[in-house]
Amino acid sequence: MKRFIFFLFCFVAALTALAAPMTVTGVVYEPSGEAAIGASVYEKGREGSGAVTDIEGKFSLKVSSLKAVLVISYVGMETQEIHLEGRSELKVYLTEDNHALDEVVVVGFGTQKKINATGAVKTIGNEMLTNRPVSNAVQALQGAVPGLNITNDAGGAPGESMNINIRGVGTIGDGSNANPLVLIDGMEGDLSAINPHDIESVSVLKDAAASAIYGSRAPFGVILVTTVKGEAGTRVNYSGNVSFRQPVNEPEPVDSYTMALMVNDAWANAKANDNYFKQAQLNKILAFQQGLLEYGTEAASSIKWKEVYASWGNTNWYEEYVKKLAVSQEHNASVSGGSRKTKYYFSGNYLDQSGIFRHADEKYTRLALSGRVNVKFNDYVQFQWTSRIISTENNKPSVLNNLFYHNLGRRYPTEPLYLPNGEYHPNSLIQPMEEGGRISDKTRQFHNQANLIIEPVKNWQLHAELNSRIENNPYTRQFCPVYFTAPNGSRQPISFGDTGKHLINSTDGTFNVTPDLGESYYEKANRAVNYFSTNFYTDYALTLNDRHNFKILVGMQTEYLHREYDRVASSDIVLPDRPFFPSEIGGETTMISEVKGEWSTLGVFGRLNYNFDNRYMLEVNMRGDGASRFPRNQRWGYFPSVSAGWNIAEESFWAPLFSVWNYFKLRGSYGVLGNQNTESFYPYYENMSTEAGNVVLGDNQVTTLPVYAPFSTTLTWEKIENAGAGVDFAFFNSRLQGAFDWYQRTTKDMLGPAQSLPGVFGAAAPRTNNAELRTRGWELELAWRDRIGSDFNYSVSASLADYKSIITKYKSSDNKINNYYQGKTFGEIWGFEVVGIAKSDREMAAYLAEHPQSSIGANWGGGDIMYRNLDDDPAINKGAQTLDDHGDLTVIGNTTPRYAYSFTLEGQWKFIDFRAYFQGIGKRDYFIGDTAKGTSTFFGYGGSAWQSTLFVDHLDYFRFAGSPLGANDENPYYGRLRTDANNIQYCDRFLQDASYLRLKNLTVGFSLPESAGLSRYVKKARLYFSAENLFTFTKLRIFDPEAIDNLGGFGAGKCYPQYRTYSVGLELTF
Amino acid sequence: MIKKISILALAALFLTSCDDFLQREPLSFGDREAYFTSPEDFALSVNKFYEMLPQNNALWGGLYSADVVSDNQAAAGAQSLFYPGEKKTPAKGASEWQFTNLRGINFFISSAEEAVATGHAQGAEAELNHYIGEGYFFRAYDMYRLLTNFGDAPIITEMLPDDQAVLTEASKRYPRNEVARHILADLDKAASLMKDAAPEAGRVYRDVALAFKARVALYEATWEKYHAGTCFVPGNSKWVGAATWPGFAWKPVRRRLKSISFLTGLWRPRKRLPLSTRSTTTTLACSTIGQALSDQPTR
Repeated sequence: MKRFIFFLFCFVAALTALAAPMTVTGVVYEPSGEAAIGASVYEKGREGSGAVTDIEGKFSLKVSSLKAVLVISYVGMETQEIHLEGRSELKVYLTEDNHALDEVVVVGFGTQKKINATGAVKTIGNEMLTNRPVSNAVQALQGAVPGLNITNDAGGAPGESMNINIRGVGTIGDGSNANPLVLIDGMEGDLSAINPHDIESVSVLKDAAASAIYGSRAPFGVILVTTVKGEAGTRVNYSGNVSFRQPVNEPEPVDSYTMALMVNDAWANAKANDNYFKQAQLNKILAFQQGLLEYGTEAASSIKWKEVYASWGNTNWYEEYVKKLAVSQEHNASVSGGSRKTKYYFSGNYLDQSGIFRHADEKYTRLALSGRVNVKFNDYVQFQWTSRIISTENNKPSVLNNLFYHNLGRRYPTEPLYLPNGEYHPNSLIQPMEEGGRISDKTRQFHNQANLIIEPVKNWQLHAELNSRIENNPYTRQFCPVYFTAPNGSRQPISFGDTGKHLINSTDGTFNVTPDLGESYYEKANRAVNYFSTNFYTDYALTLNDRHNFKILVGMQTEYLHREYDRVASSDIVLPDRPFFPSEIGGETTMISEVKGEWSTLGVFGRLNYNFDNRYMLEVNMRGDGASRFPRNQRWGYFPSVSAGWNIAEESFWAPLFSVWNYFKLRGSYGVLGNQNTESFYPYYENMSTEAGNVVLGDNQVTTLPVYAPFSTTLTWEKIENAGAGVDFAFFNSRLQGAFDWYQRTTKDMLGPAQSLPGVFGAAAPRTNNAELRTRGWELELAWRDRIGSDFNYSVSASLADYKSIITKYKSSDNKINNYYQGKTFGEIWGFEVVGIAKSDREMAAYLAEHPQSSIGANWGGGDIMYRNLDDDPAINKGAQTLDDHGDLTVIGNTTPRYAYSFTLEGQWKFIDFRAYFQGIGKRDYFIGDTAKGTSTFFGYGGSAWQSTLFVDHLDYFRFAGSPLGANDENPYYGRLRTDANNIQYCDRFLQDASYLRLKNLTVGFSLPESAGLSRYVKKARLYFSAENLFTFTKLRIFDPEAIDNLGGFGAGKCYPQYRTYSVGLELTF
Repeated sequence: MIKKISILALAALFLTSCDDFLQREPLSFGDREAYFTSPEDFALSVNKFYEMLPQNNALWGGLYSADVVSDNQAAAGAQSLFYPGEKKTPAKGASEWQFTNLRGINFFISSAEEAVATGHAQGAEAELNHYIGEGYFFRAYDMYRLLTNFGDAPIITEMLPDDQAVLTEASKRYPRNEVARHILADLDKAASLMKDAAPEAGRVYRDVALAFKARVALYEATWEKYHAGTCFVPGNSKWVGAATWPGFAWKPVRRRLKSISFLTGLWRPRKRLPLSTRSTTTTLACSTIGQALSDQPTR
């Protein structure tokens, strides 16, 4: 009865309270009993009108009713929600928020509290992956984690993959690779194929202690990707964006008249020819530029039009080929939900990207569907099933390959775009692009994972996992014959840029084909991968006396992979519009190859974690691995590792500092891992396989069976020794957090050359495990998170990492400086030092009298480069290019990217959020010019008269007064333009600084405020504008710092252009 | 007790199945066990050696460009042979000191002969032997290349292991007449094994071996005749190989040189010499040829 009356009273009071706006007052206290100054207090749902506690912790707030809920938040403290329930005076006691330290890191086969982790592990949530208009998760992770190096030296083709490594160069062992192991939910997967929206967290295991549990598959680090699970409460999510891409740092070619004058200069300076373009031709070029001539070419013979230097057009090929804008779109929808017993998550993603080349109609599309269901049968048994389907297609013209990029810069501006009969000039390759056949490269991946977790007793879990991945990669390529109309009216075939060749690559059976004139070629291939792995493990956690915490994990893992490549091609296709293989027996023009193989591994592992009172931590890992790749007697490897840590901040003597410095952990680790990732699946077998021969016997091209290449019979594992130490710290209630790591990684028993054997051996000496590489580096990261008032919170974080690799053991037969040798710092560049550019013939002659440069070239004169003499011999030469005799060469730089840094600025104010993310490389030298073909993009001429790519930047070369292009003898950058190699040697003058700073991502987002009243329909709505690669600051001339790799062997810069992306996107949650 | 046994049995089963699981054979290539089972397999291996034969790369004048080092033909640029100081010793990689072909040939010959001897190779003996004969022919062909380029050259008759000591021993250069003898012996063997007619157009057969034998003999004999007394020819004090072969000496053999005129073709005696003088070869023209063919240096 009393209760009833009391309740009635409250009810009435509440009703009255409902009627009128009330004022609530109170005091907020910190856990220490002191007043919390500047804590923000607001009514839930009305963030805009809040109050802030004063110096005594007191606040006063107008609320809509006394039934409202107050939210009190304070940095470093747990945010509290207080139901007023009719009260108008409050006393609030805050509790510490150590969520930052309750943070969990994902480690192998489990998770650990961050404060207890002793290995070098960094876990990031999905903040780096959302709102980024990137095509895959790898691009988004660039610079996100110090020590995780993602480089893309190949430009930005749609569907392009990037290189990932953890902590630098891992191995130079021929025939093995140093890629980190990527595990998606415990199964090996491809980070570039997974839908970025499905990722919940990415954990990078950098050292041996962390990755030892994975043994021989993970000697160079592990990237663990955890996908999104369902949560209770149904939610439907949609996000989509539209992006616009434009190329950056495109080279600018010179116009035809300038080019003609430059060519004349180059030939004359090398005394190779005088006046290559005669005055009559120059007049024609000028006339065409001025519009006096209608066409840039005429008949050269009855079946050929004038081309190359004989024509007089004026075409800027980059402008003709590279679009200014390409559009892409991405849509992602997901539904997640569940109850206490079942949780589910389904998602679908569609990405459509087009390329930047005109006439090419490139398209990259991806469709990904995934589903994850988690069922709890009862308190003991849980079952999880994940299925993922990923289907991608990359469709582009067959002629768009590295040879195309090579010829793009090389094509002469004097070649006109059109012929007098209105067709495209055959050398423009526009018709081959549009009609010459396309490549369709599809991938289909089907991942399935089943996971059973049994917990018979509290803290004891048994796990059984089955993982399967099935991949199919159907590929077709076609070269259709294309024709132009010759002056005499006949139809002539167009060449695809090189003489015809048909080669089969024996390692993977791919075909290296350039079609003959008029050839109708069609190729079809499939790559099928079947991967199956099982994990069985159990873990048990035990606490004794409340202070001794043990956790033990024991398990077993098996993996099996079967891969095959099949490929067929025919040059006899009758209907190019609908290509199919003609049924025939023993066709002459057919190419066939099949390469297949399989490998398997078996591993047994165990881990013991011990911590005493969360202050002293110890972890011991052990793994035994057997791999099918090694011969029976070398098959098994045993890999131990140990790590320890000390949480100093938890010590009793630290208490006075604790309020300022609340987290300080020292840790160290050491471990040995083995690498079984050889390139070949069967490195110790006599590999004899047939290949096509270059001889015709009888009526056929023969098949030959060459003898096998010798291999070492003592082949065994590469061993990677990891040692490291680190410090984790946090100040001001974890508002400032950071970590510093130092590490050393030694790769032992790398495959290196055996000492060279006498020539009578008849083959290259087989590599044995005798080389060693040592990498040393460090990583530093700092982050500051804070809020100002109740509306604005922000964070600033930065990371910096560096490493250096030295080859500590190597048996080079000749110590050639351009190859590996003992003591070589990785990435060394050798070259001359330059005295300067001779200003006159006399100056040059005087210099040559003292230091002849005849080994480099001939016909020196004013405007050429004078190289410095560094050795005893006055002549300038390269010696034997070995370590003992390198003439006047010296180390001029290093191509290793050093001091990789990133810097993020994030903030959120009311309903606006923004993020700016900078990423860069602090120091990197690069010399663009390792082949004749490659040198030309930087110098203009690549040492051969036919390798020239003349850009506006190349105009800054030495010219005497009276030169038709104007004098340039004061302070030119380049020496005289020449068709030979005199002025383009490796030297310090032209060493480039490829360091850069990029504003990688800038995002501004607007969220629908909760008060807008749409909260019945839409729980969250956000519109964002994002830009990638917005600005680049670099001192590199001509090129983009991420497009200078010599891929395809044609030289630096001859790759797909880099681009900047603008996008607008929308996120909705229902 | 039974429990113990069954546990052990299970463990054994587990371990062997583990081993089975980890033993993976290659799927798309074979080793010598897989091949060398039929004449067709032999042919596949031998086909590789046909690439050693001269090819006519028409782009740069082909075979005909070789004549620019003679006085029959001149090319656009200067020939380094004719200008003092211009002919330089090439780097090892670009020289003729290559034994890659010999390795493959010796591997083939030894594997094929072993396969025939053990019965691993099935097929008509005439067929199998023909291809082994082709192998011998190509070995002689490659040795001839070494002979013409280096004179004294190593004689390699088997695939060598990667052992420094063994290889050093095998690098020893034999006197050139010894090398020529070896070549001719190989060609004899090839002629005896090969068929009369080529199994398919373009393959070598018996007459090819014999014709090549004639060429080798002519070359060597002519060389030794016109370089006699110089450092290039073994047997005189100036010979560069005297240090390696201290006991070397010509040992003339009394033998009727019936087949000379057939083999050399070009040489014909002006008039028939009496039998006695014919056999005791003293005239320069006779002696050099005879020495080349039948001498046995003492070692």
